[in-house]
Amino acid sequence: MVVPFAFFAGSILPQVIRINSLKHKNPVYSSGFLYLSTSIGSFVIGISIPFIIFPLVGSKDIFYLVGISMLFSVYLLEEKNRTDKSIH
Amino acid sequence: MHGFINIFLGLFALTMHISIRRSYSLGEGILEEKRIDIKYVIIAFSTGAITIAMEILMFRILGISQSMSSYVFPIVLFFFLIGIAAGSIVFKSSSITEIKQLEKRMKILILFSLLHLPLIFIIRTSFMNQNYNSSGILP
Repeated sequence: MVVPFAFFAGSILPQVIRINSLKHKNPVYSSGFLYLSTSIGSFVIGISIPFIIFPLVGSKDIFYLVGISMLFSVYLLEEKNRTDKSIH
Repeated sequence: MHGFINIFLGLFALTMHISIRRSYSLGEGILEEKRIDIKYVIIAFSTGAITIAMEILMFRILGISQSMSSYVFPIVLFFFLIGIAAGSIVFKSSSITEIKQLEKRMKILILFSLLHLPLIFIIRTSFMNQNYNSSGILP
């Protein structure tokens, strides 16, 4: 039951890396920075979930947090496209 | 421990980059680079956060239902890593050269992974109810 979720979640980062490699002349720096931000995200949430989020909100609300952050990612991408269209 | 090693390696790479950049700015060459879009950094951050959050959640759900057996963590980790590796291999997208097309695909992938949340939520609820009925303790 977790494999489909991990499958789709794991496929997001290669897309981001690919976009940055197309945008930048020096993709090593941008890829390293993106991997660093992923690691920081994992680190921060990995530490804060058992000690802060579970005692404060419980396991049920983590689903809402995950859903909201995913929708926010989609919104960011959509917002970028909208600004691109308005420029052209 | 894994997180500490990752952070350490990332900081090491950043330090190396700063030292190389300094040597370039001294006149040894020109290093062209554009700023990274903050949106992609946020997406990368949230991807890592979401993956770890769901992993910990699955570990908790299965740990409660299996009474924290030592097999739970390796099983959850195994299936998560299998899923992430398969996703990375299938959607490596080396043939696509258009950024808009890649962004569109990324949106679809995020929405597909979002669709699996209710399924995991239902399974979590059934596990919790099962545990409550058998032990009388609400987790």
